[in-house]
Amino acid sequence: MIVSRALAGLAIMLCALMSSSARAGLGEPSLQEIDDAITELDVQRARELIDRVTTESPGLALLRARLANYLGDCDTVAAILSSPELAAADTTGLGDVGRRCAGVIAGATVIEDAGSGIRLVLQDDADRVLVPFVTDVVVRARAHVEHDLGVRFPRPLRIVMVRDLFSLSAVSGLPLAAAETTGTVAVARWGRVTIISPRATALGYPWEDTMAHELTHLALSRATRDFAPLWLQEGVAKREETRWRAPRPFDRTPDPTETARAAMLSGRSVGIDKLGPSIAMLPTPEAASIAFAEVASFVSYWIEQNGAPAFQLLLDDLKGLGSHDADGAMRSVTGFPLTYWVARWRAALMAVPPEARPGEPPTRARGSTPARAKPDELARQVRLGDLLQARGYSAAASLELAPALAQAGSEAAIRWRAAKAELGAGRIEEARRRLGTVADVDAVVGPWFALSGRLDRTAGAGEAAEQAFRLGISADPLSEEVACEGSWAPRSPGAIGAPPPTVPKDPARRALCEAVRASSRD
Amino acid sequence: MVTALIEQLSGAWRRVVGPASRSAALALVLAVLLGGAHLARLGTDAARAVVGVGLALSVGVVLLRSWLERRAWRSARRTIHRVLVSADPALGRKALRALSLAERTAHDSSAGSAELAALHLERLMASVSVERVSRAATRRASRYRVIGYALIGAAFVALLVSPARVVEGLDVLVARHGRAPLHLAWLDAPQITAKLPAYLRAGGDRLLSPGEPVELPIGTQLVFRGVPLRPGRALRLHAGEREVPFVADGAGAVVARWTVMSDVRLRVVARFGNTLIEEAESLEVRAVTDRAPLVELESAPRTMKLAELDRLELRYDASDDHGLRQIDLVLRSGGSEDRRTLSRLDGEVESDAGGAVLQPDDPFLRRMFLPVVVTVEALDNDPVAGSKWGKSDAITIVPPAVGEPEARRFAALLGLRDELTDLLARELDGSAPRDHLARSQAIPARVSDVVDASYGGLSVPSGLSAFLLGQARALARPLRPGESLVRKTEDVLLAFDVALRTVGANDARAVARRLADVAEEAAEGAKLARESERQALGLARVDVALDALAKGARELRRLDALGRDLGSVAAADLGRARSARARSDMTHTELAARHLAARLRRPEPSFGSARTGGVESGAGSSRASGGKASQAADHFDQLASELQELVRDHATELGSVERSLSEAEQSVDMEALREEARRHAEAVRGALRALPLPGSEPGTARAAAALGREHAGAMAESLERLSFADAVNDGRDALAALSDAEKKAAENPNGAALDRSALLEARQRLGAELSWAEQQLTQLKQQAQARSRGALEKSSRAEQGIARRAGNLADRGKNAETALPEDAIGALERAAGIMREASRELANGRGDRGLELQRQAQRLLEQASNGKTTDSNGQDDGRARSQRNDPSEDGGEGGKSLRMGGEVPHPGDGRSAEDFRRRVLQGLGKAGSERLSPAVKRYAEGLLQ
Repeated sequence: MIVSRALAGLAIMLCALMSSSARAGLGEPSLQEIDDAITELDVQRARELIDRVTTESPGLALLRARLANYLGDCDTVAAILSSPELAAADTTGLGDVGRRCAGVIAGATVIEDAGSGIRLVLQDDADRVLVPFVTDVVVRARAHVEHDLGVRFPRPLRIVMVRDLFSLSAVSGLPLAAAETTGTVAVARWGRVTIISPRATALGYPWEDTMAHELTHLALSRATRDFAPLWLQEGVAKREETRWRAPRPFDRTPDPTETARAAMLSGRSVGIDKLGPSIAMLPTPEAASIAFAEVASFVSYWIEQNGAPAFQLLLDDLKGLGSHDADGAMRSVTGFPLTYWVARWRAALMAVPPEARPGEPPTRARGSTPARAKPDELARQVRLGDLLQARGYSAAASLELAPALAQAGSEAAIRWRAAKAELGAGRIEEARRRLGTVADVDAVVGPWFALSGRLDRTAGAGEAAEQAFRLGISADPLSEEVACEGSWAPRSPGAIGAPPPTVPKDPARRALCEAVRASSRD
Repeated sequence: MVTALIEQLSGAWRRVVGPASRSAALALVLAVLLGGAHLARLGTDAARAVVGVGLALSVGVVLLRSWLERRAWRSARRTIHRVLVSADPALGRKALRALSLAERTAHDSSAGSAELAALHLERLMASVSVERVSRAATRRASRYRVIGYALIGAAFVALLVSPARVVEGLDVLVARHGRAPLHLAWLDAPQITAKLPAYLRAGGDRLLSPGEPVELPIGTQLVFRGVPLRPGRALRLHAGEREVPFVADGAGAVVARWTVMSDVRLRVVARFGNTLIEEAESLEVRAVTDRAPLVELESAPRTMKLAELDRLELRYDASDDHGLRQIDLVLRSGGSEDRRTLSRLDGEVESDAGGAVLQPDDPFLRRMFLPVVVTVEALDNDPVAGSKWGKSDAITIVPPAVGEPEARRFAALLGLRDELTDLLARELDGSAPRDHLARSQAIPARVSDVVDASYGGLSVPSGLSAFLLGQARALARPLRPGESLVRKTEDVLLAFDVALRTVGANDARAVARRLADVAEEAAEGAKLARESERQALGLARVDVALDALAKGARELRRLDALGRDLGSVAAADLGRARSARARSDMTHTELAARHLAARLRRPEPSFGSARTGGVESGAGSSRASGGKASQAADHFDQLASELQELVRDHATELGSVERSLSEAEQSVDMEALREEARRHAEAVRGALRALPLPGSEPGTARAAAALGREHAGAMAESLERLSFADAVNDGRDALAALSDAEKKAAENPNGAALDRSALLEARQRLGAELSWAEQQLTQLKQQAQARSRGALEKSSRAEQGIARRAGNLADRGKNAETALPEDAIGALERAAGIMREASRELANGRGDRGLELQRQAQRLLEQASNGKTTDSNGQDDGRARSQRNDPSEDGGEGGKSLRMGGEVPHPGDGRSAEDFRRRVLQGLGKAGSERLSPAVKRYAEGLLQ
């Protein structure tokens, strides 16, 4: 009896201890845990962890501000970091980002698409017409990046489309001068993609691939807890920016491997691990282009050599090791350090049969612009053509553009002008001849593909026309020719009373076309 | 029987004692009254209460005693007690006992026989000696008299020591609400003087007398002076709640000063504790307020549109009751105010009239997007209540939308480009008329119309205007051998296009910066609505600013590519601000507006200096070309730069010649001439003695002769200073005046009152002295030129070089790409010719002539230099203009609308040339000013030609 009583008492004591231990084990989460959750874009978990903290501290307040920034709540960031004490503790410039970001986001259009898992903030409400296209690209690119990197994005995925570089700088914290120097159009930071509207640039830019590129950065941050070194970030992003879709013309133009090889031979190589804080902050656009080419070529080479599973393992190791130095992860996955792989890659580059003389750019693969084309003369002819075309003198414009086309036949921008003049003059066959084919031009120019699509459709090649229209939208969606599938509304005085120009049948494209035309009339 | 006896006794007593006791009682009251008066003068409530109580008590005692007396004499017992006991105590006590027995037996028969008791009493009373009673009464009366006399004596002492104090005390004693009922005079020969405020400059003091109300300006100092009638009183000057003590002036009088700030009734009073005793007379003063100045602005009030404003002439007439210190032109718009001093006065002038001109391109007007309220305001010189502004009715100027003038100008220039495009198209398809006459008349005339027009106060900058006119001239000139008509038209079209794009970009930047101010205003309004109680005002400011922003963004989008881009950005952010405003979310309204303001203050393209995007994705877009379609504007700007440099170089060379000649003249040793010059100066003075002195009626022969005398006197002084140039000028003026006098004397021989022979003689002597001075001056110049020959030869070579450069520039200005307007080329060619002539004169040592020609050439060069295509003539940067126009910088009333610098408007510039001419003439009437050199000097020389 006594023994049984003693055993019962012992059992109660043990239960109490176990219960106490269990409570101690749950405990308050550390600030590092919260920080890691935010870095991995796991904002829901970060919020829960913060809610469990009972002791207020400046560090916790800073994490609250950081979380608010990841949630796109710039007002809260600015409010939290407005206190002098916290502002002094803020070494990341988050307070400044919050204040400037709040100015960009204030009153902005917010589109929550729960079905697609996207939250899109538009600084310019006029960009609403781009939403269907942006959503489509994001959904597809996100799926592919998730597959390649073995990581799943939390929903919603936050995207901010800003109107200009000034706002991009404000929302991302990227110095404006650096953004202007390198022509940065998008930044993946603070758990969101901030991208410039295609209307910010006169001729558009490849915004679809840019979106995929930035999504990859976000995925890498999540996969490695932001321990991926810069070369890996940019190399993988560069690799992923075209893999989400079917191949397109000029996908590898210029070829990164050739560019890297030429840079190495000419002594202009930037170096895999010498990118500084950001490629966008390299001194010149040329240096940035070479850096991109080098890291893209290196990453492709590494994955080619080690396989995709090894790549995902590398990401896991980077996260596990918690260091920006990739050597440890490299050794862990492949048995060799980074320098070894860089040396192997350089050797492989040199083994590629030379297609160009050292120090010279790769030979033009397409088109045929004569080497002695005079830029001033070209500019003169193009400008005269534009002036005449704008006044409705298509035939006269055609006359002015003819010598320009002869001088710079590979310039898609000249070809579509010449073709447009011919179309304006009612000479469809001549327009087709002047427009040429993809093989005749050297870059993606939206209006060229739009006219090409129009001519293809006229010729009954519906599929080719559709592809051309899609390509046009990927490059310059707010050009009238692109938005309106190769048609345009003449605005010359003589065009008053002319029949209304055609509009696309697809509702999204029709809305885009009508918006572009309305904007042009303002 | 008994009763009669008792009455006999009481009568004997009362006849003697009664008057004495009453007198003593009255004396008591009097003593208390007079003594209490001294105590009551303290004026405190306690003192007055004590005196009052004492007085009441004394009166009460008297009255009580009187009543007791009357009652006592009605009672036999009291009468016996008072009279008989006092006179014969033993008998009196017996009588009292007998009276008691009689009274007892009267009511109680058992006590004894009433008749016996009465008899007993009667016998006792009969035994009383009346004489004895009378003696006792006399003794009592004597005591009363002594007391009475003592009290009366004390009262008289109290009165005689200071009767006034008694009066004052009694007055204070009966005071109500701190005021004594009886007015007393306090000052002997009182004198009141009024000293008006110094700023009124009213001269001496004004003597006042109490009684009649008097009106005095606020700030007047009143001085009350007089000799106190009774010393030791606390005299005050009193009005309402305020009082000023009188103080001794050291000469036996007292004085108090009072500054008039409001209507008052002033009295001299004496203060006794809490009580005042006032003088009967008072001085009623009505304070006269210094009124704010009255300003009348011609044609105000009215409202006008800035776009329709060619020039707003503001004529004002300001007046004040005492004096004006400053007149300002005030422009207000929303929360902004621009105050420009039109006139600073000495504060003594009571009226001022004047004018000012507002140009439509006034920086303030151009910056504003809300109606601008224009008033003229005058400040008076009131140092007492503080200077006050009086303002005129307002002229309200409604500005156009921000950027509207620029958009209109751009559209006009765009129209020119379109016409050229049409022309080229016709030439390309072979349908254009080939006759040059038609072209030379059509396009250049259109260009001239466009560049000469005003667009809501905005003109085409002179550099751009010269460029376009030059291109139009190139288009109109006949074809040269081998020259292609189409090519020439293309060149001109592209030149126009490049210039247009430059204008568009510059204007877009300028408009964007102004729109930034509008956005900032919206943000401030939102902040006001969010943070303060003035929510309605804040909301109104937001709404007005957002509307102005919308209009401005629309205009901005009309300004070429950069304008379209910036306008689109503005429209986007405006949309956000409006969206937040619609939700009454002032925080986000402010944030969006501030972001827009910051963005527009950095009016760069949306994509900055990077022309293409895609670095992040690595795929750049194709561009048509990196070349320039036309370099005509660059070449023209190069030519304009060279021309500006030429103007500067020639001005430097001109200054060098001036310096050389001046230094050479100063280096000639004239000490040898000093004695001779002094003699000639004396001779001049001698020749003047017979001439009349100044002071004659203007316009008469005597006045002209007196003027001649003045000039001749100046000549004599110049001769003594060895300043022969001045002496010659003065001598010529003197001779001219004497000739005039002689002419007038001849016209009116009877009224001249002038000695014509003396006049003739003076003229002859002065003529001789003038000849001598001219001779010396010529020799001096010859010596100076000989000394400066080396320097002049050097300048001649430099002038030759500059002439060559001018000729080259004129030749280049005839080319298509650097074409200059016809008049500019003409001015350049004429300048080159004159410079060559100047070079020859300088080489020959004729420095004066060379210098004169150089000045002519400089004037022509400045006419030819219109600036570059990128110059904005200060129209785009209102702040810069504003700073230049700051009156504080140009120092003085004449600087109301003067601009610094040496630019001279072209004579064909209509009103601006006319304004400039007027200012020059005003300026020439004043002492030499740095501001007027060097352009004004040259302009003045031009006027004289």
